[in-house]
Amino acid sequence: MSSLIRQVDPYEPIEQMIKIAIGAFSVLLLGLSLSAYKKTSLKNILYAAIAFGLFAVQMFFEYLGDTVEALDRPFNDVIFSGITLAILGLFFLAIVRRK
Amino acid sequence: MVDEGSQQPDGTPTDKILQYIRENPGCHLRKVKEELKLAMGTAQYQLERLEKAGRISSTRRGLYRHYFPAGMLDNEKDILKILSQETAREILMFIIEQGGPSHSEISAKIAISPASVNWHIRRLIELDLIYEEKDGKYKRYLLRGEAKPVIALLKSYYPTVWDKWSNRLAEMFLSLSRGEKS
Repeated sequence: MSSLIRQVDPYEPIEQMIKIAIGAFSVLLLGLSLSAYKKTSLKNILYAAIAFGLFAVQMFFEYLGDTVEALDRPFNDVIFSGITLAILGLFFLAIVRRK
Repeated sequence: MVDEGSQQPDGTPTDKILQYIRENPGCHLRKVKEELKLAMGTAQYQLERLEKAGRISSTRRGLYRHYFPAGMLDNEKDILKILSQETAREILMFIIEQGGPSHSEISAKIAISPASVNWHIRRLIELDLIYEEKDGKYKRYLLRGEAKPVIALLKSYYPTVWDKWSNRLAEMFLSLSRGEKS
C-alpha cells in the first residue's frame, strides 16, 4: 500500500532532488571547511566540518531509508533526530568555543 | 646583477624558459608554451630537464604546476600557501604600497576584524615576509627584503575559486574567535 502511495506521489521527484541538492551542498561545505581547517588549524572549523559531514551522512541514510524498504525502520526517525541535534551542537561549539 | 639566463635572451629553448621563469615566477606550463611560442612537448621536456638539474622548482596546485627559479625565495611553498589566501594577499599588497602601515590602518583598509588581521600578520611574520617596527605607540609592518619577487608571485599566482571560498569560510571563523591575541 505504502509503495502504491509512493508511486502516485507527484512531489516525490522534487523531494528527492532537494535531498540530493542538500547532500551535494553538505559535501561541498565539508570540503571547503576541511580546506579552511588545513590552512588555519582552527578547531572551530573542524567542528563545523564534522557538522557538514553529518549532514551528508544524514541525507545519505534518509535516501537509503526511502529507496531500500528493508532499511525503512521506525527507529530511523530517532537516529535522524539525534544526528540533527549533534549537527546543531557542533555548530554551537564552533561558534562559542575559543582557541 | 646579470644572471645566467638573461645573458642569452635569444639562446636555446632552455635559456629562454629559464629567463622567462625568472621574470615570471609562478608561471605554468601552458603560459610558458604560449608566451615563448614553443611546442607543448618541447616546453614540457625542457621544464622537466631544468627541474631535474635543480635550476627551477615546481609545485602543483589544482590543475596547474607552477614553476619558480631555484632559491628565489627560501620558503616558496609556504609563501604560496599564504598567497593563495585573498586576505593575506591584500594585506601584503597594502604593506608594499604603503611601506609601513599600522595594524589599525590595515584593519581599516581590508575591512576585516582586528583578530583576523592579527592572525594573518602573525603568519606573514612567521614566514619572514614582513617584520614589525615600533613607531611610538604604534607597530608598523614592513616588507622584509625585495618587493619585486613578491610582486611577481602576487601577479602570477591567483587563488582558485576553491581557495577563495575556503578562505572566506576561514575568515568567518577567525572573526568569531576575536578573543585570540597575537
